Amino acid sequence: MESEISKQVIQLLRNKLQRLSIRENELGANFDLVKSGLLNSLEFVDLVASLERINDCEIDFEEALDNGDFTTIGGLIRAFDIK
Amino acid sequence: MIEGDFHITLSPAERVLQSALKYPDRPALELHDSTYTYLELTEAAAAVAHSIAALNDPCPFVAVIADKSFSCYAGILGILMAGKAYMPLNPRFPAARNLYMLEKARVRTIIAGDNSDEELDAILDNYLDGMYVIFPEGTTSQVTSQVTCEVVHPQDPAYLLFTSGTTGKPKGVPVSIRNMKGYVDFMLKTYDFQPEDRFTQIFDLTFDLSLHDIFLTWSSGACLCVPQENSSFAMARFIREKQPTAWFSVPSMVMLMERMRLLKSGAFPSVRLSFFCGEPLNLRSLKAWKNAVPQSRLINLYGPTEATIAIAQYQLTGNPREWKCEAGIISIGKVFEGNSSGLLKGTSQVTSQVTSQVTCEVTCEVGEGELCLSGTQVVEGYFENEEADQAAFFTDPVSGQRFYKTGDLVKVDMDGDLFFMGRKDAEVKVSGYRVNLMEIEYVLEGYEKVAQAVVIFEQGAESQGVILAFILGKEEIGELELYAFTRAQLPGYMVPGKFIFVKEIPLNVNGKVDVASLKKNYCDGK
Repeated sequence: MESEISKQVIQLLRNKLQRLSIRENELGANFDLVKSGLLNSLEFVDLVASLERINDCEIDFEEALDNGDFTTIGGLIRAFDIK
Repeated sequence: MIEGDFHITLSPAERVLQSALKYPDRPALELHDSTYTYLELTEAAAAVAHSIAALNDPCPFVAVIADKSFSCYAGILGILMAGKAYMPLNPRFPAARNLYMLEKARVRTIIAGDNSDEELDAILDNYLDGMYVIFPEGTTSQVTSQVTCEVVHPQDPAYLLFTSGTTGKPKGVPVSIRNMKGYVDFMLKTYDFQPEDRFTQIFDLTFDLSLHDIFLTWSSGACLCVPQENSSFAMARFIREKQPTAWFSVPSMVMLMERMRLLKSGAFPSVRLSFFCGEPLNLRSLKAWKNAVPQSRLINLYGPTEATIAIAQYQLTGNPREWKCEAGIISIGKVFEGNSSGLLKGTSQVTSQVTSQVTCEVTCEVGEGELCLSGTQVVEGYFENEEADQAAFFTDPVSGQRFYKTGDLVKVDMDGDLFFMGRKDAEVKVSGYRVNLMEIEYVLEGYEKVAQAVVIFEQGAESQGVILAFILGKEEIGELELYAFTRAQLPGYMVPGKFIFVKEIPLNVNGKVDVASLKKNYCDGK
């Protein structure tokens, strides 16, 4: 995963991933951050808020959720790439 | 019909049948894209009740796999119509926890949900005593006018829920028909629910707040709107599509929508009543919600499972500047009529009767202490757990009233309004669920490599907070293995968000765990 967003997600979640012994290469496009139990709903929204700050943009959550996979790494990349 | 001095009033199940007779073709339940009328609901429930009666199972409890399917809702109603109490099993809980509850209550009959084959198999494969299974789907229909309820006594159990316990095992809370009827009757009298109302059903069915949704809706001839499972991100869309008039959630749900920037001005005009319960209600989130539901009355409810759904309320009216709050947390108001409360200062004496509207003896005493509750809605005790009863219930020597010690520290103001100030013990609320941190410690210490565990809850200023587990190992332990072990033993909301491995557990001068030192040494002093 070479996307800038993907790198930012890994950076933001680095401590948590380390604690749970999840390797970075396990976070493929289909890895669901919420369904996997890695983040709860509020933590996911906080992650999106951090990505918004870093990338100086604002995501329309409902529009992003329409794609059905927003809580996956791939879904996040798509949502931010559109911006 | 209820026997005894309640004979002239209806049980909660009878109220539903009354609605079905008046409004057979009105929608009772909207499950995703399917709508079920009162006739369909009560026919299915009656079939369940007949199946239960035919089994002659002496156990007062019937379990239901709480998967929010039509069979599950019809099952709950059918169990009550059969004069039995329902015991919901959360399909997402570890099988061992569900099995413990079934064995503890000696349950012999279970209602299968429409989507619960896997959970049912896990239970049947491991339950030693044998189990009758009722599949409501496809059962024969009845004529509604002939559908009746078994006679019940006020003291009979209506439902049995399990809450987190200190000894590593959940505690059973049997709630009686009298307790449940107390809540339902009070709410129906206080709020003018109409058949045109549409209630949300967001709460998990193992959470007693779901009874508010189900039985207030069906007692009013209204419609229960159930969102998709795991749809917390799509709640704004759910509101726009289903147009609910009565909203009920934990405050965290509003906080989530606020952070998603979905609480736009006037976004949800259909909502005319907003109830919150299960967690402290934050003033900032409430103002954001009010902005989205301008037509709505706002009500903050409070109540532990032992006091049946909710037992106190604060209605927020007028200018938000006049809303009572303490440190940004909205008041929980006063206890419902038919119940009374007091503050326990020190060890055993109730020093102030805060309110008892039944006798119009409203006496207020400003102060702080542990909130104690007594009255129609307060349960008699835990299910076969004398030790827990002795710890949590007592009889006031002055009034002779039996009180439940909530463990919640409250403050009472000049008007007698209550303010939640925190917990007295190791119990916390996570996403509205009661979690006893000692239960998590007990489970962690059951892992062969763990010598000692200390579990704390860190409440963030504007977050749900996180459960931290300090682990003193007998040998090296990987976080992942401990996470997997805990995950297999406890519901997801009880699994610590962080495991911190320590070299020693510091003690203070009293020989107790020095949590402040632990945090200072291992959490950067935060």
